[in-house]
Amino acid sequence: MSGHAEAEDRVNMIPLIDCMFFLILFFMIITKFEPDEKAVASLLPTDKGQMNAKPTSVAPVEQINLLVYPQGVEKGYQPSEYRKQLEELEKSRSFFEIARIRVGGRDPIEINGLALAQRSNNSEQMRDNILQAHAYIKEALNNLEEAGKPRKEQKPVVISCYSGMPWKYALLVYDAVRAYEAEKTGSFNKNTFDLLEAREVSFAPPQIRNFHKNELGNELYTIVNMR
Amino acid sequence: MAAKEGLTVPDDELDLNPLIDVITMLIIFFILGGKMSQDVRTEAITVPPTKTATKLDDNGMKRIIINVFGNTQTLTGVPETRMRVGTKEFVNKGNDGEEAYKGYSQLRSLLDAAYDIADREPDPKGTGISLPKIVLEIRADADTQYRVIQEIQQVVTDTIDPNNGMQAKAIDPKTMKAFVNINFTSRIPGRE
Repeated sequence: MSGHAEAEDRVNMIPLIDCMFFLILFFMIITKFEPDEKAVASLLPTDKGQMNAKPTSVAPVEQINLLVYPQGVEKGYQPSEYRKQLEELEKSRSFFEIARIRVGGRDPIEINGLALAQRSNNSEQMRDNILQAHAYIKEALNNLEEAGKPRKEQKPVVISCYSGMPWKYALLVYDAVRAYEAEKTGSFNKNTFDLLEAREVSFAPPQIRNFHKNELGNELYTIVNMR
Repeated sequence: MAAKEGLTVPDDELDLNPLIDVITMLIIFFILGGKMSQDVRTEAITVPPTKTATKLDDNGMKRIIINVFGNTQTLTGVPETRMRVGTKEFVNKGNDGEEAYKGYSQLRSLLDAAYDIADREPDPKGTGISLPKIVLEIRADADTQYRVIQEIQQVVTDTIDPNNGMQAKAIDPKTMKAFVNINFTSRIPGRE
C-alpha cells in the first residue's frame, strides 16, 4: 500500500522533457542569428550628373579625384595595352586581393583587402586595412584643404573605381572621405541623412554603360591616367 | 544486507533534474539570442566593413532591401549576378545579350510597382521629379564587382533602360521613377 502511494507521489517527468525537446528543436530550426549590420547613406544628386544635367557655368569644376584600380597597373600605356595587362592580371590570383588607391597625382598606396571580405568582424588585418586607407586619404585631403571656405564649398571628391574591382574598395574610400568630413564638421549626426553639411562626395558616373569586355582597356586607361 | 539494498535503490532511478536544467537554459538561449528566419538580413552575404556606418533609421520611410550576391565566374566561365528582394530572385547571366540584363529588367519592374503605390514628394531641388518616400538599401557582398553596384544604381535611379541593352534613358521628370534615397549596408569592424 505504501509502495503504491510512493509511486503516485512521483511526478512523471517524461512528457515535460518531450515538450522541452520539441521547443528546442523548434527554436533551433526557425532561429537565425542576425549580423550586426549598419548602413552608409548615399543621397544621389538629382540636379546634376547623369540624372538631370543642367550646366550653370562653362568653367570646369575643380574636383579631387580619388582613384581605385588594380595593383601592378602603371601610367603611360595605351588602352589596348591595358586590356592585355588586365587579361594577365585576371589569370593571377592577386587581381582581386590588392588594390591601388590614389588621390589625384599623389603617390598611391596598396591595400591587400582580403580581410575586408572575411566573415569574422574582429580581425586585426581588417582594422589595419581600414586605418591605412583612412590615414592616407585624411593626409591627402588635409593638404588639399582650402582654408577659410565652409565645408560645402570645399572641392568635391569624386571616386573613380575600376568597374572590375570588388565593391569593398569603393566603399572603403567613400568611408574614408566621410570619416574625414565627419571629423571636420565636428559633429557626426547618427541618422540616415547625415553629413549634409559636408562637402560633396560622389561616385563617378560609369565609364561603361552597356558592359563590353573590349571597353575595359579604355576604362582603365582613363582611371589610371586621371589626376 | 538491508543497508546494501538501501544503497542500490537510488542508483536505479535516473536523476533528470540536470537534464531539465540544461534544456531550459538552451530554450532561453535560443529565445533571447535569435530572430525569426523571415528577416531578409539572414541571407548569406558578407557586407564590407566601414568606420562611419550608422544605425538603420528610416525617418518614417519604407525600406526595400536589395540583396546582391558576389559577382562570380561560374564553372562554365559565364559570369552571373544574383539579386534578391524579399523572396523574389533576379539573375543576370553572361556579359552580353538579353540574359545579361534580364535580372535588372525584372528588378526595375518590381521598383516601378513599388513606386506606383508609394507616398511621394516633389524633389526639394526643384527638378520636377516626384521622389518616393522609400529608402533603398543595397546590401551587397564585399566581393561583388563594382560594375554591378554601378548598374544597380543606374537602374534604381531610372537613368538606364535594361530592356534596351542598358542604353541611357531620355530624362523626363514627369515620367521618371527615380529612387534617390540609397543606403549601402555595412558593418562596424570589431563587432562580432
